[in-house]
Amino acid sequence: MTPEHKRRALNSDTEEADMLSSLPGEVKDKILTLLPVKEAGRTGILSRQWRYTWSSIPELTIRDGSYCGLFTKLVDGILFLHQGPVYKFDLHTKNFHDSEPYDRWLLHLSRNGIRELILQLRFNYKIPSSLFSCQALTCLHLSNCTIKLPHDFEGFKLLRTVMLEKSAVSGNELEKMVSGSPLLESLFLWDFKECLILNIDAPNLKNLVVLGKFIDIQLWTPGLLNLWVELKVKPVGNHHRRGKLAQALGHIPAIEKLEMHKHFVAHLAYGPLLEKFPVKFDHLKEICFSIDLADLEAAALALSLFQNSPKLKILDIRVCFFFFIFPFTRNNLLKFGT
Amino acid sequence: MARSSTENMITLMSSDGEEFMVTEKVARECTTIRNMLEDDCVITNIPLPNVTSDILSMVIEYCMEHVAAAEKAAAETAEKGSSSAPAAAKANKDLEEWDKAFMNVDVYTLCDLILAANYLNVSGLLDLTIQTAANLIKGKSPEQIRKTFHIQNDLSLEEEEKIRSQTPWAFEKSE
Repeated sequence: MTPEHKRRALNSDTEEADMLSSLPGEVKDKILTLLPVKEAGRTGILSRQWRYTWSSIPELTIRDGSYCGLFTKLVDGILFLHQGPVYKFDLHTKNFHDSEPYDRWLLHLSRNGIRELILQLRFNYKIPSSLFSCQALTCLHLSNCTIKLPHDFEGFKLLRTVMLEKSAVSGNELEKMVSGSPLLESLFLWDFKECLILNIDAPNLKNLVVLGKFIDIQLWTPGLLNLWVELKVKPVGNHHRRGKLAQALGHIPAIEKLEMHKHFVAHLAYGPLLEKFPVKFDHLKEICFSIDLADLEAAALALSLFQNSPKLKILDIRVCFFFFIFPFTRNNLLKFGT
Repeated sequence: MARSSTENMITLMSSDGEEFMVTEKVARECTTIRNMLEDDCVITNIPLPNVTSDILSMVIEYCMEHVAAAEKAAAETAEKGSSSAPAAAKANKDLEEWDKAFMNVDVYTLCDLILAANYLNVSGLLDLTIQTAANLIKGKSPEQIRKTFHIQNDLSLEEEEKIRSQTPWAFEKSE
């Protein structure tokens, strides 16, 4: 502290001005946004000036842990008194399993400029059509949700990040959603249900994380920088023996970091050895994969991959047997995108 | 702070007329000033009528510390080719400690710093100060918050009762 600060600190009790209350509204919003919503609401009782200050915070983060039976009343009460846009709505529930109020809340949010929606639920919830009209949406994170696009779906023109966790959406609908989101940069499909064939056509996609039971992966993503894939099923049968590699990795010329886990390497290598490796990765700097070295086809594929990646700097190989479960957590997954 | 002789110096003038000479790099930490410099590159003297000298000196102290930390990290990366993770983590922790010590101020200085960071648009300092303010509110009773920030309660008992019944969820005892 400089001497001035010390002097100021000593003089402070002679000043009785209420400086917090007179901060600009947007600054107070920022402070209250950092508090649990319950504590933000409680500031309404500080003074007349504070009565509705909390009600204009543009970001609402709500957890059901401490509200138990009053949960519906809590969210209804907040949204009823809330004024102005809600740009971010982050709801995480453990104990609440009734979908009816969610439809009401999403309708409200869809009319109030929602940009970032995070719904982490413990029951299967079908997303209502009101959400698909939210043109300001930039980030969508859903867990345990079912998505059915309405017939008049016009795409999400500003959507940049999508994270679908333990969620159900058909391959066609996912394709439609992705192609309707021209700015999409990051797509996380984590423990994905229903969809078996993944077909992603997204020119601006930079990060893609896939974990699921896909039997086929086709990527048309010329701008993709980071790819992380873990397949939960072994390749089976004799059909589709060729061309998997070209389908999956043939159209990602900008790729810089590639991570392949569980059965993905085997999936690519499945079938007879390729005479000519179909791709060259001119920008690939980092490869990380798990491989069963007893699988000669996979080993040969790995070798071809190194030979065709002239800029390779970091190589991280995990030799394993596939009954071993890797400790990949969601935190690792989130870090991967950054 | 070491600086090359070619580096531009900018004079910032506080509301009470005190002048502070800083490098352009430090001044550019303030987005508001950066925008001024980009609009008019020959500008060397910037009056800041909304910021007093004691607060401006603190803002400059913050910017200098963060510029120095960024420069040190960049120099280490250049020297070794890539930054080593433990060294970077330690540097981050040191800077966090510095920030924490820097935030050891009374609530008036804190509110003044929030206003200055908001006006000058120093995003790191704004985040730090509003987080500090939020921490002073978090977990406190309304009475404690009023005391901390010298907020006068001008609500009648009836009005208080009404607010409690309008937002019962905010006053419900947890668990």
